[in-house]
Amino acid sequence: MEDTCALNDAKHICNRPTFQVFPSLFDLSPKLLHHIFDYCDTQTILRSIRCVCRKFYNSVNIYNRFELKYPIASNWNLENLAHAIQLDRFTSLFIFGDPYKEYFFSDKWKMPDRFNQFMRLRSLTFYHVDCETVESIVKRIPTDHLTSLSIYTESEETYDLQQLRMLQCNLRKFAMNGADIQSYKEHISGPITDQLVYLEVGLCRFAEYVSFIHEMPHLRTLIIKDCLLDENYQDKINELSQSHTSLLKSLTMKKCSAFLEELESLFSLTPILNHLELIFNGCVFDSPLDGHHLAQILKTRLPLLNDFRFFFSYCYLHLKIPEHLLINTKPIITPFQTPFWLEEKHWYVTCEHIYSYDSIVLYTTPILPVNEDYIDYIRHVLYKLGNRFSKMPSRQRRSVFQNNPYPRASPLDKAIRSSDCRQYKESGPERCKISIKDNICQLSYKFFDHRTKDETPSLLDFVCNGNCDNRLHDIAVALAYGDTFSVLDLSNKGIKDTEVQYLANALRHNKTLKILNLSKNQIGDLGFQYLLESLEQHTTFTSLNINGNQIGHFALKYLLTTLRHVKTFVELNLGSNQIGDKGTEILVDILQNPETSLTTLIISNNQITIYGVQILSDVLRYNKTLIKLDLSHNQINARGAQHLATALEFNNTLTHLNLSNSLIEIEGIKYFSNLLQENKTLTKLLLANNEIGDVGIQYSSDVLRNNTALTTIDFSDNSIGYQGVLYFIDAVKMNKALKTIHFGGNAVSDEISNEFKSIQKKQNIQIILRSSSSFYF
Amino acid sequence: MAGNKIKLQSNDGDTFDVDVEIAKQSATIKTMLEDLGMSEEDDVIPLPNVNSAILKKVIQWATHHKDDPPPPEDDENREKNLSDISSWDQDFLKVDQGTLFELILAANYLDIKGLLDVTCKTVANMIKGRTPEEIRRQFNIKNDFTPQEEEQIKKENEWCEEK
Repeated sequence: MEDTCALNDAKHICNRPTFQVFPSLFDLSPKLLHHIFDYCDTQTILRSIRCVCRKFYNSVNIYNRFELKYPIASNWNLENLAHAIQLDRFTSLFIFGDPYKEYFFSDKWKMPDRFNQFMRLRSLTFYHVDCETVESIVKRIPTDHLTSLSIYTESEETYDLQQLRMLQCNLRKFAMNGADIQSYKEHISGPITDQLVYLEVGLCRFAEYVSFIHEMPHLRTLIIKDCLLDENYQDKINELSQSHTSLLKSLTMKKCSAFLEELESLFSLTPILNHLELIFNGCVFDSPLDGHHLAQILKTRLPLLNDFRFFFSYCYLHLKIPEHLLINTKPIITPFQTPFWLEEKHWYVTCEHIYSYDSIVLYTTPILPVNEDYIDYIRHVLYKLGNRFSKMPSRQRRSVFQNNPYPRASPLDKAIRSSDCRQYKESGPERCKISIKDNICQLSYKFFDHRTKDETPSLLDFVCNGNCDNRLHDIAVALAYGDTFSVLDLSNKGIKDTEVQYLANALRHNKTLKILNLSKNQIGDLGFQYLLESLEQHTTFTSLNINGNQIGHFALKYLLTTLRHVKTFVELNLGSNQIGDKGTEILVDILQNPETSLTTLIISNNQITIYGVQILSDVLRYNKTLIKLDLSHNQINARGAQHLATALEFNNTLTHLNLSNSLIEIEGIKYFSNLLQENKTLTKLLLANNEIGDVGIQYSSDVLRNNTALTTIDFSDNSIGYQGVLYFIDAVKMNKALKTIHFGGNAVSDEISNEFKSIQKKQNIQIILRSSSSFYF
Repeated sequence: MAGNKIKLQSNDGDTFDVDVEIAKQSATIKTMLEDLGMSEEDDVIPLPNVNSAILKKVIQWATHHKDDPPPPEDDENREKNLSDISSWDQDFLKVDQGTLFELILAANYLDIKGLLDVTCKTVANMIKGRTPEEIRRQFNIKNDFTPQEEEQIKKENEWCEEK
């Protein structure tokens, strides 16, 4: 144990009692370090690992299983590389062509002389390289040690690799994803097939599939796009499953269009399958994957299956979905929540409903390499093919594009394939996403399970864009089961009382929502009542904006109960409703109640008259919680202003008051001027559009000279003439507290405007000369 | 054969009853049983390099993977694909660094290729995309290069810039 300490002077190890010494990366033998290097790219090994310490440096210098990624378009001559690492230390070579640049028609690319120095190459992989170049490279590179050859292509060209047939090597892995059936049969026939452990090809017919799994004695891993079943496949399967046993362990279908009962038959041929990947063809299916049925098949047919991953999508564009049966992700995902999926197998499924793609997506996590554009593309394709195709039942759809004997060349297929290679984006349209793994239902913009590095799941602010008629259901489900978001913004969505019911029911179960914005909808008393009742048990809710609805005074009585129970609920925006003086009476009760603690109340534009203001004023004398009050756009008049100003003389809490558009006029401003002489609490006073004129501004200016509390004042649109403006400017120059002044819509000439600019500069005050009648806190 | 058990003993004295077929994923144990002719019933196989906490984890892994396809024998042709760690293995390997490296040493000693692969992949994932300094910090390794040596390595790496 002491040796370990001598080798490694890292403090944490030596500080521990010797019997608890844990090994670290530093303690691994070169052999084990090399094993780790095997999973690192060459850049990481040379530029990061090698530079860590002497031991790693020496260990890298004797490593000889490097891989090289060679882009043909780069014209890289390998001279410098060969000086740094001898080319026979590379065992894997990846050659990247550029499918869009036809370099091979010019003399641009010349194979570097050094290509023949890759003496110990075991694995050779081509991406998008044309047949001729593949052929010439295979000819040039020593293939004595080659055990793996892969040719991945997007092209329609049939690869006829003469050279390949001449290869004298022990190929164990062969991949040729673009090849049609004839060409790969030619290429992989003969002695090669006897050795192969791993085979990847494109589409195959049932007969070929059978030959792969039964006639290649060592084949353990098979990757195909899809298996095309003929009419009497079932009979053949019955016959085969009696006589043959396949030793296939791993199967991948990259564009599976088989239905579950067909998969069940296929699986009966490969009973010891251990690893299965299925990416379903999104154009074929017209309903979500049935999790119960799938589990049943896997249990009975593939009892040894250990690692199962799938990606399933379907687009409901043009499909008739009854209005009462809104698409809802919860029932789709529920079958994947059984102990079979979660406890026995550890297969975690996520479901996404991506609204703007009209698509439902189901996939296991970690997600298979499928690009989200694929979903967008499927919708696009279905849209292009039109109603007739999209409305076809799945089986008919599939037969349409399997009519072609080699459907990989069909335009539909080609289009989907070209979407495969697009880059990942980080975010996209909104979706409702339920992940079984962490049991989180959330409304998200994130593509699939894409997570940027080091990102921790956080509360998500959600804004519902566009028309969300049939999304409310999802949103409601998200609210009920979600633990992820704190802000829900559903403003201007045409929400009526019935829809509020969805939300209200969901809110009863929600535990994280803090801010709810329902402004500019069509919610009436009934909806407001649902909402308030549903919030009664809530513990985190802070702010409700229900501005611009049709709420009268009837439902307000429920507000008292809710506010008494939910101590965190402190902000209420009831602006532009119809609560009137009767509603104000109820609000007064609330403000009087010692169990409530409303800090912000917005009741602008609510037909409140002098009476309402009077009773409100009375309660403000004693209230110690309200900090912000917006009474603008009501009929307060000078009398109302008098009540308020008198009451506020006793109030030491209210800091923000909005009395814009309240018809308080010269007399009203007089009372406020008196108030400002004494009051040290108000910091923001908004008095726009009150017809105070030159006389009114004089009253205010006199007190503003010495007021030290106000930081924001709004006198815009008050018919203040030249004299009044001068008077005001004079006062502002004396004032030491103001930070923001709204003064638009008065007699501000160029000369005055310059004066304001100089004040702005000198005193660091923001002066806004736009007409601003709708300014809120 | 099915159901036959053997006893494995950790270096701190605990013994574990394990299905022979599960234990045989360890080439080391397989050799002991087959070549050395150890009988299965009575003998205890001592594993002096593995403590009981780690042995327990190894058995847990081997039990879950008992029906896996045999990993490719070809050592020098690994796919450098890091994203294919199954979710079960990812959960299994959510352990502290000490345990992770003990698992690597145990997998190496017991010669369990699948476990060695997946643990090494996990470490590679921790290294990928990090600078030398970040690697030092993460694994608590001291920089023992002289400034001259660092300069030298920098020069050697210049080919990487070529594009």
